[in-house]
Amino acid sequence: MIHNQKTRLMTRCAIYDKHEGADDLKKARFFRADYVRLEILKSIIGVTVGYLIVLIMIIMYYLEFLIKNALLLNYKMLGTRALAIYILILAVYIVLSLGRAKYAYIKSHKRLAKYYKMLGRIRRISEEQDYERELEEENWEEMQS
Amino acid sequence: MMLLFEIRAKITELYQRHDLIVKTALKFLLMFLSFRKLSKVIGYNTGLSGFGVILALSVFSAVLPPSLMVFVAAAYIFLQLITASVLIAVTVVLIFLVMYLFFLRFAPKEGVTIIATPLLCSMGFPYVVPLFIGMFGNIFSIVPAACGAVVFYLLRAVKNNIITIDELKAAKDQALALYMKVLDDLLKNPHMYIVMAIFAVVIVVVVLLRAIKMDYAFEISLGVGTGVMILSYIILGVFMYDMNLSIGKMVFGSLISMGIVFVCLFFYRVLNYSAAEHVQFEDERYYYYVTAIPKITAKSPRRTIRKVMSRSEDTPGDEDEESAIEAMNSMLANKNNPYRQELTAGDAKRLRKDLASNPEPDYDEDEDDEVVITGPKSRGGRKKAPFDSIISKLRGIGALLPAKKKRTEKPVRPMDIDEEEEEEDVNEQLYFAEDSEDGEEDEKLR
Repeated sequence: MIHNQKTRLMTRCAIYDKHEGADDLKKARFFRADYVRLEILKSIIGVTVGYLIVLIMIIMYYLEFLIKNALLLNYKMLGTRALAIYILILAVYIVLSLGRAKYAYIKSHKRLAKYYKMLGRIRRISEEQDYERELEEENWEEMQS
Repeated sequence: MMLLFEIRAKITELYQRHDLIVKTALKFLLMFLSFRKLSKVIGYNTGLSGFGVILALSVFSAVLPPSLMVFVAAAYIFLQLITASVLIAVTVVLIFLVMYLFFLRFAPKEGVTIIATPLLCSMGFPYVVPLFIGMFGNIFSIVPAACGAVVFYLLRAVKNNIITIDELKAAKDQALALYMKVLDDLLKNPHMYIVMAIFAVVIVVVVLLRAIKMDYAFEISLGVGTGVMILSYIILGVFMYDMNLSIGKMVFGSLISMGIVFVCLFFYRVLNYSAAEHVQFEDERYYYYVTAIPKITAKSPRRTIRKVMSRSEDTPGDEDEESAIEAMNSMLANKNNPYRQELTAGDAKRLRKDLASNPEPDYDEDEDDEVVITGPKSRGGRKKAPFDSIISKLRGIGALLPAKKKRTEKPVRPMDIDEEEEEEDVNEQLYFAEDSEDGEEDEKLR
């Protein structure tokens, strides 16, 4: 016989699994600090690659000028400036990633806690059903004997 | 009006029943129009610009998630441009990559915005973008909208500088000059920054206004957002920079956009503020300030559905109501009651009469009335229903205004349903709503 409450709980679990459950379970494989570090690492890589691309495009844009003035340019100053901008952008992204990752982890953790709670309820209902089924079988056997 | 609500109910029901098909069809339409537009603007590769290829690509893209749709569109642009100029094609892809690495990595689900924005801009109808995003997105949706504007102006810059492939072939050694021209056109174009700024301002205005706790917040925010957009376009696009903008056309387009978003809003949520209930009650841990707003719903004619299910008898009994009336009477009779002074004798008499004569409405599930509750929801809110009505009646005559109790909870938007101490997103509400036996959650899920 269909257990209404169990069906409802399972439906909710399934919907959660379908949408956010997969991501949350991935996050749950890490401790919070590890997850935050991983996200920061991803940000560092992303920003570095993006910044390199932008630098290449700028160099391409000013290529003629650079070739003409190759001997006159103050490379130390240019390098320092590029590095300073890079560090600034990186710092901003690290802070943003830190906040975002922490927030996302905490949210997912809460969702997962509720999800596991629901799974526990489903398990309890299943156990109750099993117990009732066993009782029925025993009664049936007794009746037959 | 009821006819409209019936149509709305029918369309909503249809959408709910066939949401996968509708979503796929809409995605297909979006991608088809985008590919058609792209083939017209940068259709350098005749093979890729054919109707069959576009159709196949649109069908393929329609079944992909939004982030991959953007990837397919970027690949299409790359393949079209590589026929004309390898350097330009690589540049465009690099700009896409930079946008992804810096911004879009954090919003993988906003792919549709990035595709729809340049499409609407190219159709001369960019006004709907900020209004729609402001109404249904969040403040961070500024980023994909701005990226969409960049894509539009990038493609326009490419189109302006690459005239024909024959000319390009004749000037093969001019690739670097072409690259510089395209970047000049893109980065030194004030129109792009104006459009991005207007998008950002309108989205911020709409998002902030619609979050204010007031009646008709969505409609007001939509109207104000449209006004701000028109003013911004007039000031920035006409007086400060010449964007070749016809004011009449722009105003007309903005108003049409407002109409479109309003229709979307109508289907999204219609709330009847005239019947809103503001009630307050408390339990051991919290004070609750609740705004209950019934949705306007119209039942579409349906076939008879026979439900075979168990039914529990847990309706609020008469005993509860009687005890509530008694409690209220004793409270009114109590001399130490601080609110007693504010009640006149006539008010108290009328109240007693009302309580005695008007029975409490049936709190059983009523399919016609969906109630949106804000503020922390009490466990056992149903059992306290008679108290709600009494307190709300008292509030109605100015007796129990919360003058002596400070609000402990932050005011929340009328649309949210808070169940926990902290705000939770809608999906979470859907997944983890407290279980009840009356099948209310089943209705929501369905």
